[in-house]
Amino acid sequence: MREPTPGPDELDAMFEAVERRIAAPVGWVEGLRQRSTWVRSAALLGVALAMVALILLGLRRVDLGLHPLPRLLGTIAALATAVLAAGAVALRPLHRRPLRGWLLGLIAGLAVLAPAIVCSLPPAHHDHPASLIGVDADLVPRAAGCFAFGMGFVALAVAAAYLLERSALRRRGSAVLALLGAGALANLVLVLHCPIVAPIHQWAGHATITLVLLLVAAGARARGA
Amino acid sequence: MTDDRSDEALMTAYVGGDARALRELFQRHAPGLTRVMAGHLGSTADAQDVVQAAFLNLHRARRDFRAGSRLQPWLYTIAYNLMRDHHRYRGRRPELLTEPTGPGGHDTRPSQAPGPDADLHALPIRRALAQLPEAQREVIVLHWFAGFSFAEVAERVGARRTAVKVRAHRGYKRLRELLGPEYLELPGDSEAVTVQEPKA
Repeated sequence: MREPTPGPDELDAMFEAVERRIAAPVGWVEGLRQRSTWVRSAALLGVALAMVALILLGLRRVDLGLHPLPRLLGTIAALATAVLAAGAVALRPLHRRPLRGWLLGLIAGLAVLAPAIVCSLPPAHHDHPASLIGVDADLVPRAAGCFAFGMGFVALAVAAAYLLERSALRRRGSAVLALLGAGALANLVLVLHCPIVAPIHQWAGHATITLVLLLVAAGARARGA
Repeated sequence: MTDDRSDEALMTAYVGGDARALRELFQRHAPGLTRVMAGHLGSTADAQDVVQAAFLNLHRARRDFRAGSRLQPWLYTIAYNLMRDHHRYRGRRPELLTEPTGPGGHDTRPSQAPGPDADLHALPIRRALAQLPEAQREVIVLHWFAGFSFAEVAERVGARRTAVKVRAHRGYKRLRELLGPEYLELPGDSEAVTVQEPKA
């Protein structure tokens, strides 16, 4: 191995290479990534809130008034916690030490389990006609619709994380948590949008989003992304 | 001319638009950081790449820097995170192993004094280091190879001095077991062994 401590000339050459990279023109995406972590986090939170606002203002579930409020609030709190925690980890800057493995596992587990538990709960009510569809012959089309709807929000959320995360989600932890957080966000959106209460629909159309993203994340992890 | 401002003052100046401040920070920290990274990576070229990337990332994260923060832990944490990514990218456990320094790939030279003259070339040392847990290896490379005091190591790794000494004590003990009697006089013992092992 060469002498590891660089000499003055070598040091100058190293710095000039860094300087050239810094002096290179910065596009708007890199400009976004160079914003402070507070600004980037606020922007990601703003994207998530905009999605929720869009649903509440224009695409709210028709049976919302019939849904037991404590259960609705508990569901929203569990999914929102998963979204916020995953988002914070995804944008965690490089100058902070990596989180301990158990904490990362806890956050990833929350993002996976929260949608699964929400979808496994018994029907909240049977008091609205729109809540009783989506089973038997209607299962696949309705579930596919919810899956596609949710995946659209996943795409938007992952795109936002890609634009705001400094490594462009090349760091493994950031990529996995961005995917799982986006899955929890899509489930949150579906909770506020979809009136169908049958657990089989919830599993086929909602929880599958997280399962698909979990497989993608596992694939990315295996590839060392 | 040497700039006598503190690291933090230089970083604050850089964030404020003083481009020369980054050069001064680079001149101050790149040599030591390269040496530390070479101790982990076993390759000077890889170490230089990591150091350059660390300063580039320091620039990209400059708006996160707040008055009152210490710069060195920032810089070292960035470098260590990049090094971990480097290892993952390479898909192997850290260190050494790939650059044999003598005929047949064996180098049995004994260790030297700690600090800037410590022998990073000695393959047995690099092999032994690779068998330590990352937290211990990080502390030992900074303490032994780079010659930092425990207080300085604690600052760089963002841990308490006591925790750093415990890691060093355990790491040096394990290194002695791995390297044998030839390496019994490992550095840092006089300070590190005074730390009591925490009860299980």
